[in-house]
Amino acid sequence: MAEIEVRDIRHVYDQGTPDETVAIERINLTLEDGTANALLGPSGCGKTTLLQIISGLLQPTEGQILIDGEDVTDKPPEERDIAQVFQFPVIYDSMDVYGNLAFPLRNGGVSENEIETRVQKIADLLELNDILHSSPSNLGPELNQLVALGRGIIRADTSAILFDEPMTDVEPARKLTIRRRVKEAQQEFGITALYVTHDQHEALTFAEQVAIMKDGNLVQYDTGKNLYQSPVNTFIGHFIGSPGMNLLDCTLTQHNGTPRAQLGPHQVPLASALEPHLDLTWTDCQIGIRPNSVTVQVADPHDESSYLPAVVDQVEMLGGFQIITATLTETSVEVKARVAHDFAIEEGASVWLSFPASDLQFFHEEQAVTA
Amino acid sequence: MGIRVENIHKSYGTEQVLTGINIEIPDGTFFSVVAPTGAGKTTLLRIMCGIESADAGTVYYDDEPMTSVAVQDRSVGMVYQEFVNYPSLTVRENLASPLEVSDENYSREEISRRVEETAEMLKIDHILNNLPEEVSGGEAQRTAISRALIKEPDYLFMDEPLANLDYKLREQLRSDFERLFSEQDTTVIYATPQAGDALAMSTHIGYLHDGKIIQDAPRDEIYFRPRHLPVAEYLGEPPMNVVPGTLIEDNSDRYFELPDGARIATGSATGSFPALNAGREYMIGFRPQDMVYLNGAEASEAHGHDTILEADLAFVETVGSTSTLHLEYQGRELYALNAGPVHTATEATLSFSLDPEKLYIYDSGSGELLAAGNKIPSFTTQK
Repeated sequence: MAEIEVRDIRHVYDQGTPDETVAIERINLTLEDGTANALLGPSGCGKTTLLQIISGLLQPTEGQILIDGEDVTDKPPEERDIAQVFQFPVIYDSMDVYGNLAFPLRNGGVSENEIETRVQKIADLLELNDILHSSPSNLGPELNQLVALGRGIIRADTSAILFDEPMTDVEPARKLTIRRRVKEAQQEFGITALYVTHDQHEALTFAEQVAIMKDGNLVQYDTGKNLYQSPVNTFIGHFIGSPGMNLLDCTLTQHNGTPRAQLGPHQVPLASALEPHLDLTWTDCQIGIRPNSVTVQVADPHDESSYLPAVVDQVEMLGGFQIITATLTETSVEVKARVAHDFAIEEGASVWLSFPASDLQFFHEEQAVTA
Repeated sequence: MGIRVENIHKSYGTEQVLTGINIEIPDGTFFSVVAPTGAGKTTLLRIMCGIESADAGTVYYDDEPMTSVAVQDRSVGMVYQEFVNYPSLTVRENLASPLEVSDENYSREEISRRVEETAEMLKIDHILNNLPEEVSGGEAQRTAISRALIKEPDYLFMDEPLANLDYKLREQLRSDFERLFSEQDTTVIYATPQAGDALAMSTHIGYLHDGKIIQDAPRDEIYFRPRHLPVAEYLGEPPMNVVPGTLIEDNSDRYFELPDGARIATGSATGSFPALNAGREYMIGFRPQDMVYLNGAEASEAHGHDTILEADLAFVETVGSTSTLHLEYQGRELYALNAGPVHTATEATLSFSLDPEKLYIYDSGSGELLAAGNKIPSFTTQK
């Protein structure tokens, strides 16, 4: 496997015509050898364009793609040794599963003994042993997707593997199992992988580092933990997490020398370490807090310095847990909080919410302010 | 009142898709039909709204049999997975079109009022003058839904309307739908393979299995009291864990013995699950969030004690502050949810404590729910 570098890539569709569209402003990104990476963003953010530039299906307007330091920008896809797994599995129906897995090796003139060893190794890893001699047309899309993956990684000289929304056709109930096998294969073979998706759950569970794009720019390339705990701006805060971070409009004030966020009549203490980085005259400020960092009390804790009163507008059951949406009294500020699946709460109920200072983020003009 | 479906059968050639569907959908509810892809959800919806006819059985709206009533004469709206909008008409014209072609001769003012109201309700009032190609996927789907709602139908049928949308948009629309339809009189019939979507939005859920609705109930009831194993194993993310266990009575001890010899105490014979028979094997279900992970010291103290389950960790997924542990236990895949990162090597053996009062006990043959622990919410049903 290899290191992939995206250097100063810019891409403009229909350049010089009235339909000119900038798909990628300018992106630099290095995927280290053997690491699992994801490319995540809303529809139209440019992620598919970037994927096609890396695989060689599209020539960038500017910039280079380097594989282990070698400039491959002008090379066609077949000379880049990059394997791809697409949305819908691409499988040869005329061959059985074994034949599909062996295909790239037979093309490369590998001996049948060697082929058998490799096919066996892949089949063990992806748990395809029972279906090696079945026809792909009799298997569901999940198994076919695993066969496509196996075929992508069977060659010893594959430099990287790109996944383009590979779970699109997979039954919801089968996704956990398929995700796990894909991830185990990536780890076992030390594959340099880039997984493109709009589904943050898939991205965060697959990748060590996730690159998040918006409007043709790379906004943050970071570990799941950092994206969750330290989003660089409000977009990442909202985009990561389900539901995303609460972003509550506020102004700044001070109380006994410690900074506080003012939300209508309510005050929320901020970490004192933030104090030197804040300016009390700022407008366009927000505090950010994750729904599962919000503490919910159903009985009045009689502690005005830590708890804000609110009224529950909506209760959503999401399978493993519930999301409560509550409006802070005397404001129109809505807060979402995550509670256990059997937490008893009704719409219209009064609750008291607490935002621990250690879990609060502060944003000015949408950018994170950190100590 | 509402919709009643009686004994609907449907085959395509030799393939039997629906084999006796019975449902009652009360007025004003949000009723989701949940099942894996290919189970017949779309067929059932098409029969209920009148696009397709059944081989046998009857669909009633407000106690009136609808068999001979054509779809255009019913008060129904429809939304599909692919958003169907007229590409050459603006969003405003798209919304107005069902009223303009209607026999009811709506006045200009009435059409305009309804367009404004519906657009505001679905938060597309800012794009009324745009063409469909100029709006986002979520807005295009909201436009399609607005078109279906503008005639204020009694029944709105939606077939996987969120399937083609971005994850974040789905999350937003899911929340919007729950709010919108809880304030509306419209009865919604919604088909989806996504357990999470159905749980988030519905007031009622029916689970389709082998051509039949094997359980339909208010949302909380079907989640907390799934009466059959396939329902239990589908409605939850991740799904409920199920392992076999034999009920043993040994003097004053009464416990389930699991395949690896682990025991889950049930208290005395007068304690939990008094109706179960000693010596029989049952299927024991427990939710992933009810498996409490025990770390190092707690685990060694608990080792060999009752109600401790030890399983091999295969894989950990951490999203935000929640870890999903993929476990292997006696050849079965189990899932545990843990509110915090788990720092351990994969292939380690982990210990979990189980609360017997949070167990579900199913018949190992029929898969029917026989008993549930006292800490699981109970419901009084009419059935």
